[in-house]
Amino acid sequence: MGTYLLFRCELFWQQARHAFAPLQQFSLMLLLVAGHALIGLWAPLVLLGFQLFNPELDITERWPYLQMLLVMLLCWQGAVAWQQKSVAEQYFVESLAPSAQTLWLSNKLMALLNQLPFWFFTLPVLIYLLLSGKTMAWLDAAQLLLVLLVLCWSFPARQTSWLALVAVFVLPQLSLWSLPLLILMLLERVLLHLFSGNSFSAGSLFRYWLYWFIGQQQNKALLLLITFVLALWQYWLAQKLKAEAVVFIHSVFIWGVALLCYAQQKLWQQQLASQHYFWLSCCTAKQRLYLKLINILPVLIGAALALFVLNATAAVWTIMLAVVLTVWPKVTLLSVAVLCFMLLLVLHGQGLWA
Amino acid sequence: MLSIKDLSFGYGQQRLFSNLNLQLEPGLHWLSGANGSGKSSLLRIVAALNHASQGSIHFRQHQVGSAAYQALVSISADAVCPLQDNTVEGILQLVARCRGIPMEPLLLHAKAFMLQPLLRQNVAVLSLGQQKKLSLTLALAAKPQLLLLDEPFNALDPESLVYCCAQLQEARQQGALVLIASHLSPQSFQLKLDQHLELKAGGHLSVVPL
Repeated sequence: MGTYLLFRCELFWQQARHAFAPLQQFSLMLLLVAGHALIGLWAPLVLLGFQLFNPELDITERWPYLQMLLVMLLCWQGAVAWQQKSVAEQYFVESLAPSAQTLWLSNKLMALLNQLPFWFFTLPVLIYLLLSGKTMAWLDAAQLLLVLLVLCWSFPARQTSWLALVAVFVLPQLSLWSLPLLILMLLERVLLHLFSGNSFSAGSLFRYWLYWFIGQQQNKALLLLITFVLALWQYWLAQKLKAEAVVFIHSVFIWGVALLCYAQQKLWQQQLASQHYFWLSCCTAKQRLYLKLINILPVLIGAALALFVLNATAAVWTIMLAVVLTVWPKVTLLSVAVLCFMLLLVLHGQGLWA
Repeated sequence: MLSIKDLSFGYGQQRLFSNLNLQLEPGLHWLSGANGSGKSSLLRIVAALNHASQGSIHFRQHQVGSAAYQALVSISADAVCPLQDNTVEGILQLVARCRGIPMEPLLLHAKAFMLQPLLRQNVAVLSLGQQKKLSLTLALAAKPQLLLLDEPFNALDPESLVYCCAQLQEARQQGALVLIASHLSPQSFQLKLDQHLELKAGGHLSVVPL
């Protein structure tokens, strides 16, 4: 049993390392990413922390900040989930388990490990809320704990994401701006029902891509992030938006879009590579090109929303970065694009702070 | 003896078996059936990789999923694929560690299946036949008492086919229960079968004369 549990931990670690393998090839890029993370995430996290623990705010005012934190973590979780093994490989791993009980235990432990970022970020918040001695804070803590328990109970990423969304968006308060999310969930159900069991042909590339897109965790996270930022923007407009809040939304949005586009691009390229000969056999060269370009669509939707939500300069750079990340499979250009993007963000961010 | 009682299983709305019953003594058993009849699913359920919605499975009085049961069973199937981003040698070491067996039998089978020059290769770059050989190596080396093989002869070259058949005969002589699921005819292979079963839609099993 101990040997098997150790093996599962090693496997988890191996998966985690592989997830970021392309980044490890470029130490300069890693340095810059770290720098950008400090600049890009410092402001929103400080603001987030400040607002979360601000005793002058009541529960309804603090919830959006908590929700934002959870959405960011959900996106991270989606990014990890993309490295999940195929069903056949999972069967292999499970076939090595000494007993069904050990298998169940190891799956649950891996689920907990997979959710580590959630615990890492939210446990301090939970402890603070519990120790604050305020009744409203205890209520917040109870809700947060409920969300965390729901998140950690289920290992499959798809279930986790929907449970998280219900917990984050529906439980606290059912307001008007949570409707787009409910619509998205319903849309997913309808589309999956429509496409389930249908055969694909070279002439139905868009339908194939849509089917694939909807099935991916981080793609849903991308759409939800865009919808959520839009909703939050409307919420803050009513609350008389502060300058810090602009930085907050701005940084989180661009970071979210950039990382998710990278994840999506990586996944889509893998999908095309794994079915390389299949596509070669049933598509013309032009159709294969369309198949690659079709991946830009969600980014364009996101970018159009960025134009609406963010200011024009930031939106244009978000579009450019997103498109480059989405279509280009080579890491070299990817790193150059990220470098340019980060420099621009630093300059732009300084302008915002001033 | 392998005892399957009132087994029911399905994927969502699609039901594969209802109240399937089967008793098998040690020996070489061939399970044939049309594509989609549920042969592979049945093997995975017996290997405790899928869970039946109803029914029970016992092997030598041990319940499916128990530590004593799992120690006796091995499976080789296309749907049970060794980790693609590891080397062949890494996979052999992993199985040796998890199943508590020495490396020698694994390397012996790997050599017989002509996998030795590929030990440092990643599993992902192996051909279909080489992946099948690796899967058989892992299943055979543990010397299981219940050996489950799903389409074991697909993509094998003639030499490996002969070796594989010889190993299955040896396992039979040593008292193991070998269950081979295949859509092919058993007459094509040099195997002394004890029983030939056919699985039909809905989980109906019938005995085919040898």
